[in-house]
Order: sequence, then C-alpha cells, then structure tokens
Amino acid sequence: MSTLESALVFYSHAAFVYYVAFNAIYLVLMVLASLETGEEVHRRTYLGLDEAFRSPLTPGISVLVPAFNEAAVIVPSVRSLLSLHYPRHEVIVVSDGSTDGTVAALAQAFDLVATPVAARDTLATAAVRATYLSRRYHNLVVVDKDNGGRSDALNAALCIARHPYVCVIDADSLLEEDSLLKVAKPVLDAPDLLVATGGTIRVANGCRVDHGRVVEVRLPTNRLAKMQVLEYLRAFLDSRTGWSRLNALGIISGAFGLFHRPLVELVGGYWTETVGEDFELTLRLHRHLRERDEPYRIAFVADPACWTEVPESFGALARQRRRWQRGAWEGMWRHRRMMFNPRFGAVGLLAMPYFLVFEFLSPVFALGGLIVTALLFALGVLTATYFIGFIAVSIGLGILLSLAAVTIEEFGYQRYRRRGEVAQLVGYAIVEGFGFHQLHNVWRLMGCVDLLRGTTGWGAQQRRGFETEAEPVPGALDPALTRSRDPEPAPDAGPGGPRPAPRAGGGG
Amino acid sequence: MNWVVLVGAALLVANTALVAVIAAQSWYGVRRLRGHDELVARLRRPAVEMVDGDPPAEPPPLARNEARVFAELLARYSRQVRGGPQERIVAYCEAHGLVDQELRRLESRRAWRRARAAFTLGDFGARRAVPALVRHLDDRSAEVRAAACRSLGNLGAVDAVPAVIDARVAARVPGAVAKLALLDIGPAAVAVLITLADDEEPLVRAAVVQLVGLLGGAADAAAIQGRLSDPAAPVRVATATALGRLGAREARDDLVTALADRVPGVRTAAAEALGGIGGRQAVDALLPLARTDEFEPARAAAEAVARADPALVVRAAEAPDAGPHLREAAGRVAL
Repeated sequence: MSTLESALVFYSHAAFVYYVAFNAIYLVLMVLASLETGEEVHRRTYLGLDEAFRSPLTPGISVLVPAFNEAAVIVPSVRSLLSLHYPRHEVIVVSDGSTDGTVAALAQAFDLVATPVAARDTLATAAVRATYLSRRYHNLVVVDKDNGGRSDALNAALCIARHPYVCVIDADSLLEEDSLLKVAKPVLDAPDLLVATGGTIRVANGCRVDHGRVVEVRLPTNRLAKMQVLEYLRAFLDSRTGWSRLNALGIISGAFGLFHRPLVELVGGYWTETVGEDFELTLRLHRHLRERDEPYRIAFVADPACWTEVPESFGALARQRRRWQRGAWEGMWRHRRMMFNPRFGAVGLLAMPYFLVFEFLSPVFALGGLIVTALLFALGVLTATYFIGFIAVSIGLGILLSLAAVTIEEFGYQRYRRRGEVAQLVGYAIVEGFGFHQLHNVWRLMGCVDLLRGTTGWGAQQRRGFETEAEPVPGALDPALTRSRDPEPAPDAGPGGPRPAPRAGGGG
Repeated sequence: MNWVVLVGAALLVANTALVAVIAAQSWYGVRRLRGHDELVARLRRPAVEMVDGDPPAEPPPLARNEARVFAELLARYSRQVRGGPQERIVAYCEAHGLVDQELRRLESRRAWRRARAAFTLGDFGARRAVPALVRHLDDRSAEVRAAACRSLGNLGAVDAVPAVIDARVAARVPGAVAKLALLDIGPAAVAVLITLADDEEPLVRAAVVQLVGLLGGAADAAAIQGRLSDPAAPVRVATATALGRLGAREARDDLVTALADRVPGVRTAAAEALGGIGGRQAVDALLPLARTDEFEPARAAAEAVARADPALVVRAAEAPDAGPHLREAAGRVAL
C-alpha cells in the first residue's frame, strides 16, 4: 500500500469515527429532546397562559421585523403580528432601504402617516429617512432607513423599541396566534433568570394562509421544500431542544427569538459585520453573562411556531446555506476564546466544539470521507464489509435520527394531521440521506470557499409570497374591499434563517 | 462481516420500529384529536347552558370519555366566570366526585400529575382544597408549587395570603405567579400586604407596594407614599407606579420631587404617575424633563404631558428646543 493509499485509508477511518461520534451526540440530543417533549406535553395542561394573558404584570414586548424588499409578504406578515394574542405588544417594521415598494405597501394597508419617533442613541445605524405611525393600529411603527443590512435594521428597531423585551421575526414569517405568549412564558415565570428564548421555525410553503394566519397546515408540493420540512423538524425538535436541556443553546434563530432588550443593548446590539447575526448574538450573550458569573438561562421552547417561506430552488437554497456557513464561521471566530474554555461551561466545552467539528467542518469529514471511502472501495483498497459498514453508519443512522424527529413531532405537536403527509415525511426521511445531505455538504464547502474569497453580504433573495386564496396585497384588491376583510386586530391592543442547523442545529 | 451484519440489522430494526410507532401514533393520535374536537363541539352548548343558561340546564347524562371532556370545558369556563355560574361548576364537580379525584391525584408520585391536579382544583373552584394546596406550596416540584399558588389565587383564598407571601419570599414560587395569585385573591389581601410594606427585604417591599397599587383604593395610598424615599430604587419605582395607579393626588408633590431622582427608572415611573394624576404643577414639572435627552424619563414625561394636556403637548412640540420626545408625543396626539 502506497503512502497516499495509507493516508486515504486513515482519512476514511477518521471519517468513520466522525460519523459515529456525530450520530452518537445526536442520539443523546434526541433522547434529551424526547424527555423534554414528554414533560412539555404534560406541562401544557397547567401552563397558565390565560393567567399570563390577563395579568397586568405581564411585560410588554416589541416585535421587531427587519424587511428588505419584502413587498410580496410584508402585509400579511404584519397583519398576523398585529393580531397576536398578547396583552401588550408593538410591531416595529424596519424597511432597510427596500426598493420594491415595501413601505408603500405598508402605508396603503395600514394607513401610515409620517410622524417623528424618538430613538435612543445607544446603537449606531444607517440614516433613518422617515418614521411612520398607523392611524388604525397605534402599536405599529414603520421605519424607512438607508440600507445597512439585517443587523443594522434590527439595531434601528432596538433604538425605538419601548418594551423591555424584543421579539425578532423575519418579514417572511407568520407567527401562530399564541406563539408570542408561549415563547415569552418561561421569561414571565423566571424574569431574573431567562434572558432569551427561541421558538420553532416551521415551513410555510404549501400551507394555506388567510389574512396573515396559517389556517391549514400542509406539506409543500415542492420536493426541496419537503426536505427542508424534515430538516427543520430535526434541527429544532431534536437538536435545539436537546441543547437547551443541557443549558448550552448556541443559537436562537433570527426568525423567531425573544430577548431582554436592555441586555442586548448593553452587549452592543447586533453585530453588523456578519451574516450570522443571530448565532453571534447568542454567543455574545453567553460570553457576556459567563464572564460576569451571572446566573442566566437561554432556552428553547418547542411548541410556539413561526411559519416561514423556505427556498424552493437549488440556487436559492445553495445561497442560503453558503451564507449560513459563513455566518457560523464569523460567529465562532469572533468568540474563539470561548472554544474549549471551561469558564464558558457547556457552551464553551460542548456546543461550540460541536458547531466547529460537526457543523462547520462537516464537508471535510462527512463529504470528503464518503467520497474517499467510495473511491477506495472502487479501487479495491477497502473491503466490502468496511464499505457497507461505513454506509450503514453514515446514512442508516441519519435515517434513524430523521425518523426520531418525525416521531417527536407526532407525539408532541402533530401539526401535520393527514396520514399521507406523515407517510411522505417518513419517505423523505429515508431518501434524504441519499443525495440531499451530501449536496448540503457541498454547499457548505462552497461557503468555506466564499470565506476564503472574502465574500460578504446576503446575496439576492426571492420571495414568492404565501399561498392564500385571497391575500389582500395592496394593489391586487380594491383597498376598501381589503379593509372590510381585515380581521381587525384591536386598535387598542397596546401603547405602543431559521437556522435549522442543517443536518443539526446550528451555526448556520 | 459480523459487525456489519449486526449494525445493519440493529439499524433496520430500529428504523422499522420507528416507522411503526409513527404510523400507529399518526393513526391513533389523529383519531383521538378528531374525537376530542368532536366531543368539545358537541358538549360546548350543554356546558354553557348548565353554567350560564337562563334558567341553568341540568347536565346531560354522559359516558366516561364525554364526562372527561365536559369537565375540561367546565374548568376552562371557570376561569372566565364568577358568582352563580362558578358555583354551579363547583357543585357539578363536587357532585360528580371530580374534586375528590383531583385531591387524590394531588398526592400522586408523579410531579406532572400533582401539578395538573393542583391546577385543576383551582379551575374547579374547590374551596375545600385550600389546605391541601397550601401544603403543596412546599412540594418538592417547582411546577406543583406554582400550580398550587396559582389555584389559591383562583380560589380567592384570603387565609392563604401569608403562605403565598412566605413561599415567594423563600423563592419557592416565581414572583409573577405569586403576585398574580395575590391579585386574584383581591382587595382582601391588601390589609395583609400593607403590614409587609416595611419588610427588610427590598424585593418584598417592592412587590408589596406594586400589589397595593394594583389592588388597593385611594385610601391605601397614604400607607405606601413614604416608600417614595425608600433607599432601594426598585421600591421607589414600584411606589411611584402604585401611586399613579391609585390616582393619589396628595402624592403629587412627592412625585414631582421624584422627577429629580438620581435613578432614571424612578424618574420614568414618577412621570408616568403624574401623567395620570395631572394638574398644572405636574405638567410644569414634566415639560423640562420631556425636553431632556435621557430617553426613558423624557419619553415618559412627554407622554404624561400628552395625557394630562394634549393641546399643550402639540404647542410645546412646535418650539425649536422641543426635542424628539415631545414631537413624537404631539405626532401621536395628532393621529
């Protein structure tokens, strides 16, 4: 055997160990997630959401919605947010230099009037062009500002938020009616301990949406989107629930997360130099609080759901995953001091090494290992026994983990009630190991290349809009008719990506 | 080859087993959910007619699974009704042995079962469960303690006020749960709370003052007004807020003084309170604060001026030195 062959065989063995370790960790997370889900199902019967809703002590929440060219989805999204079941909340939409009429769509739908709104000077942002208040909903604020990126838009929203907690939502996302209350409940119960919580992101493609609300949960018709349904289930219901149980949640998704506003301002708001701002902020909160030895928790709550539109083309999905890979690296590099550092507890010793080895480096071991092993087998260097064993571990265990996620979904949440759809999820759990995972690792590899080439920015994103029978997009319907069909969230309601860690939780 | 066969077989068995479990749960779970939804739809009307009918209807004869759903509905309605309708729910639960059943479950070894029972006893309005619930404020499970505390509030258990406060002080129940329970117990708790306004623990004093503000009447303001000069800032914040809620005009001077407190949170709370109390002196003191650039107090002061005198805030916003907060407040008034 030549030196090269020996090296490749060693590499294949290393990849085998990598797969075993990765799947073993994921199995542990799955067991923890199963325990948590079982407890949560019981807890629902004595959660006390009604009490939290009517309590005058329940703190207000500012819902922050950064939007860049979201005209296709912004109106139903804001409508859904305004009618959330929460006693005191405001909605702040920040149009980050949109050029597609996002602000005009909002102005028409919500009767906006240009009004000065005072802003804190704690976080620097790109110039604000104008602020608008709604004549119909006095808890709606719209900010029109120069383009500065998602983080910059969020910082602008933080500067005018009036409530002690902020909930960050993507503009292409829809919250279930009581999602805000559910994601806030742990914070209401332990405000001195909980500094942030995140909820589950679910795939909205295929669902029937009516007036900004998911009224019928369906699987997408697009196959790529179906794969992502499964991916999100695994990432959120298995991975994040498990990490949260270990008090080592490394990321709260930018699409649906609740934060203590003064703390976020204290740590400097969102970092504008990254495309993984949610991951970075979560790490920064851990770092800030651990360095000061302050008791705290960052928790994941699986039941509240945020429905979001996922990419349906390979190109768009590839761009998203490459961006996540860059974001993961930027966050980890900035907080490299935490890595393997016992001072940062389970986050430094478990979560961050996991992100580095099993998320960021997965193209090296998972993809490279598979290719090299197949090549060595084809050349007759490796035995059939070893090759079959490698495939069993790399793909068979992956199927097991995906099926486990579907099982947790069925026992804990059961959002998909059609048996045919559950059967499809099972089918996709089996087939996704043959090609999709590998393709995903190719995109991650391309993300690494982007990093080496110094690529920055988010790249183009396309919005298809929610599938709905009669979505009142301004211009598409007579405005008077549109208004008459509104569910009218109470005007006096108050004073005022997803990062499903592809294949696992995180970073990106 | 042996290890490959073993691994492969184990994975095949595990995956097949999971597929079977998913199929069974999908079939059974959906059937159960649909059945439950159908029962809820069918029993909602008889339940409402029994609770709130005119005259109240007799409960229908029910099979075992129907009785369970009927009890669930009654528990849910119990959170929304008081007086006669609630008494009918209590009478039904007592007559059908539901209270005894939950009291037995309260002694279960499983924490979730105890927590659910503690919660349900509150929903059933079972006054005779109060001693058991007070005992479970010391339960080893935090969830049971919280559920017991919440139910004591639901039951309006005035005699449980000291126990609830003790549980809160000892951090055995979350502050929000204890405070809400005391709020639910209502004004009857105020007399007990006022005796704790001088507690040596600042967080207890703050919570007490906050609750007096929410539960008390104008006559209770005098008992807490002195706390505006408390050494602990959270107590001063809570006192200012409480005085505002109580509409304590006699505290106006002290609140104006509090507008100069060194802690921004106290200034903010005092401004909000003065907005509710109003008066020329208050507005004169609030305007300069509204023009400052200290965000929270200035915003609160501008909004307070807008509440007290909307026309004035519009005029004040036109001044060159008005500042962003008065301009925003004026903009909101204009809307």
